[in-house]
Amino acid sequence: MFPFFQSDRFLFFCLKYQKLIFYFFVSLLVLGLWEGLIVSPEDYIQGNSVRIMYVHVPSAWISLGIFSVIGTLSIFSFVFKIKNFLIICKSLAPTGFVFNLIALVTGAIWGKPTWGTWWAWDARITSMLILFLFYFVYLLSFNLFKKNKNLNKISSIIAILGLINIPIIKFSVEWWSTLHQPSSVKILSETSIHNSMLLPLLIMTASFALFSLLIFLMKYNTELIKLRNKRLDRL
Amino acid sequence: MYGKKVKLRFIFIFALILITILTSYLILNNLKSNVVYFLSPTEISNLTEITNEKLRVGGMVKKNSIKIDSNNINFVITDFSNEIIVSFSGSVPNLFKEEKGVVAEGYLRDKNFFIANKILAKHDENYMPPEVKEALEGK
Amino acid sequence: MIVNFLNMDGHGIFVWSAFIFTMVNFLTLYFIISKNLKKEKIKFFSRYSIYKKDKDRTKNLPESKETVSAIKFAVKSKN
Repeated sequence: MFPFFQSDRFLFFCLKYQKLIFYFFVSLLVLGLWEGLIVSPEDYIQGNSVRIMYVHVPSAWISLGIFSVIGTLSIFSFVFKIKNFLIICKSLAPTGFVFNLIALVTGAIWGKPTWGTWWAWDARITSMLILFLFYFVYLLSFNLFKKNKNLNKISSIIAILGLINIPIIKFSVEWWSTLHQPSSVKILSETSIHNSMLLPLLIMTASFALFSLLIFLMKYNTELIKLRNKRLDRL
Repeated sequence: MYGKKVKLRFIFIFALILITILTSYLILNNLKSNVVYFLSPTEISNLTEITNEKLRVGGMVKKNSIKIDSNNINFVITDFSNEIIVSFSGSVPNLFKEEKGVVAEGYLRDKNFFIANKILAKHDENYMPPEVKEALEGK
Repeated sequence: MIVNFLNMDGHGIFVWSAFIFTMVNFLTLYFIISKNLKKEKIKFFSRYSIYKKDKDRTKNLPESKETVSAIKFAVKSKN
């Protein structure tokens, strides 16, 4: 079952090019900051505070994406008991957690000048906070049940329960009336962000994605060496 | 093809997902009044009774409806089928403008009059530079 | 001009604090993860050298492709 994932060919391919990914990330980040902070225009109504979007939106996208991957892999790792998937999930979680935190905090910073409040208990923001709690509990489960042989079961169930929250976050702005505006970048219909602002947004998204890949690879490497250390200890 | 245990675990996960979807659907449906951040003027006019509870009204600020007294702001929130007059004293956010989204938090006096103690500006999903906005309006 | 740019029509404090918060989080995450990686590598090398000396026990070590290649990369990126 899943020989590609078990042989880790893709992951070791990435590990080999870790340095390249790092340089690529830094150059994209510099380009994105330059585009976002200096080149791109102000918004016709928000003024300069629109620039917060360039860190807020990519972080939110990536934290949602990472949790979706964790949840999906957890289903497989629970049903087929694939140990490698558990390690992949464990290595993905810290980045997703940090990106979720960034999305919440920068959202609050954006809310003050735009809405007139730091925080509102509307559906989008509350469901994002729930995702943050899921990330927290998920990470905590690896510490609490470190020595428990049911670790795979417990963490997988947390991730699968959290997976239900993802579509709720995505569609919260359409299903209910929220203070948070509906999404601007759509797959099926036209995007309601002007191209001059969409460009830095996409560059920042790419660089944030590379950053999360980089952190994932480092963490994954750490986990593999940890396993090896345990085996050496047993000798 | 797969062992009995794999099948059992698959059924367990499938049931778990179904149950969570069902429970979250039921919870969200029952708490609908709490999940919804604000009511539209139409929903206000459909209310059967006026309570003293704090609530929020949201919609568009009607064109030419903002009237500023000494320290009072009166304006009309519309959803293009119903309207409600809002009275507020205090400072409004920068983005509070005519024909823009707004959410007012406060108490309902009657179905046509709302006393707000907090005004939030609601942003829409459009982002563009001012020149583009002007060009669009010029058309 | 620089003051104007930093101020951003009064929104500067929000914009800069959001960007600085993001970057601080990036740096913290990066350093925590790389510190842990280094720690595990050092542990590994100290144990591996002991284990290498005792060649009779080599057969007992369960080798798998993944861990072998992980070690290769650990050795390569020793610094």
